[in-house]
Amino acid sequence: MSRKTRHHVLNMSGSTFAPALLGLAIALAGVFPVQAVTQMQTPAPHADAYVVRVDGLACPFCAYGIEKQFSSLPGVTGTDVNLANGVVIVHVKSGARLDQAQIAKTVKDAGFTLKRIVSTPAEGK
Amino acid sequence: MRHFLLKSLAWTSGVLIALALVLAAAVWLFFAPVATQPPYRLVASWGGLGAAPGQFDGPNGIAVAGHRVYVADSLNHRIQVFNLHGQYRASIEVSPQGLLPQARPMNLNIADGKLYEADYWNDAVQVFSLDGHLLRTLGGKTGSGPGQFRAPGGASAEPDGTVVVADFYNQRVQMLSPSGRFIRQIGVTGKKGYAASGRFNYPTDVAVNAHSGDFYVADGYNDRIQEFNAQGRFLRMWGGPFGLHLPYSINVLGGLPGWFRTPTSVAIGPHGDLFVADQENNRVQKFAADGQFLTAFGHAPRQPGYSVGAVAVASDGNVYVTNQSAQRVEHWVPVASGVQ
Repeated sequence: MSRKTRHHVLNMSGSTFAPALLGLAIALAGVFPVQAVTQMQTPAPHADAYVVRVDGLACPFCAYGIEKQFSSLPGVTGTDVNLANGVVIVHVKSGARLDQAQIAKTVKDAGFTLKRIVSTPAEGK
Repeated sequence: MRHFLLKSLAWTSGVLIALALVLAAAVWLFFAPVATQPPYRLVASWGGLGAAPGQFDGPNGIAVAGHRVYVADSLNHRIQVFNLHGQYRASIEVSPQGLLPQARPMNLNIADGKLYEADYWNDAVQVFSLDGHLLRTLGGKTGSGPGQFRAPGGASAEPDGTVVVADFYNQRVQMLSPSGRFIRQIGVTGKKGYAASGRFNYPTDVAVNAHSGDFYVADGYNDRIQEFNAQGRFLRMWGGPFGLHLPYSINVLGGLPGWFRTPTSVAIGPHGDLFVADQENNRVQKFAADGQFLTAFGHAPRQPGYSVGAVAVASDGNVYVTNQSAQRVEHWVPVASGVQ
């Protein structure tokens, strides 16, 4: 296939190819390994902080987005995001509390899915 | 009977594997373009983690104008200015707009002799003179209405002054007058789009052709680039087969040449070529203006994170890249030309 033809093919309108590509993607998923497998280590509990695990964190845009959402909650003093293992640590004022629904909604508003709350301040050391 | 079942299973598995291999070869042949230009070579870098002048904490944007390199130092809430050899020259403090106590500057772009900075946290686009004076602020109030932003990732301007903004959480690209009056938008506010052109899944940056006004959008989580003309009409898209991104699909093939894993920054070179920061692949990819793949370069990160964040191109064709994992700026040159 010539380069010109290849380029033409690459730039064709593609919406009609979606079903075929879906099948192709499924078939190829078994051939090409997923690039990175994250090490799932359990983070240590923090005093005055919630440690939550979030699905889908990938880039600084994600990290700053989730940090921004948590910053808008009352009692939150700061947020640390670890992109490599998908862990978000939400620091709160002493005595401040967040409930699971509040955390789940904040994560959702940032565009992600709450996987689980690993630890809460009450469980911290 | 058991022997027959095992034999059938083995035969079926063999056929499926052979089919998958044939499909993989077909994908490689049809959808993995070949580099037609040599790669680039890393010749220098500067920075390191910290808050002192010349150090960075989250370098997430970069632009080059003349002999100056501007770096968005996100977690230090400033834009630092260097010469082309990395010598520190000045710092531009990015002031909060009132929503949050800190600014979070992201992608930077130069247009018509001005510096455009997207403030991700304050939902604003700030326009500076090249010597660092704030000329005007667009937006600054979070929202989804016309002229409002929810975490803008990058902004630039067309030759007539029309400002183009990648409005990240609003899933749209807004086109505004120089004073911030809404002109039009591309995409549906707050609704992610996948396969269709003119729809976005977290757009991260824009790059505008200084002559034609045509612009490119880094369609972040769709792992593709979309191109529009100066009026916002769709021209083309690429990144995998036909630039399609299927909902909930795993981008297992995103590492192929010409494909992407989360493009976070785009920049146009002196000859109209497009450079894309292909973040999760830790590489920069270079394309002709019409999307034809030319070459790619980069290296694996040596610390946690990604070695590519944002990209900018100088008028001599040298490329400057923010390395987020190392908290540095890297200077790359075309292999054929050597150090300039």
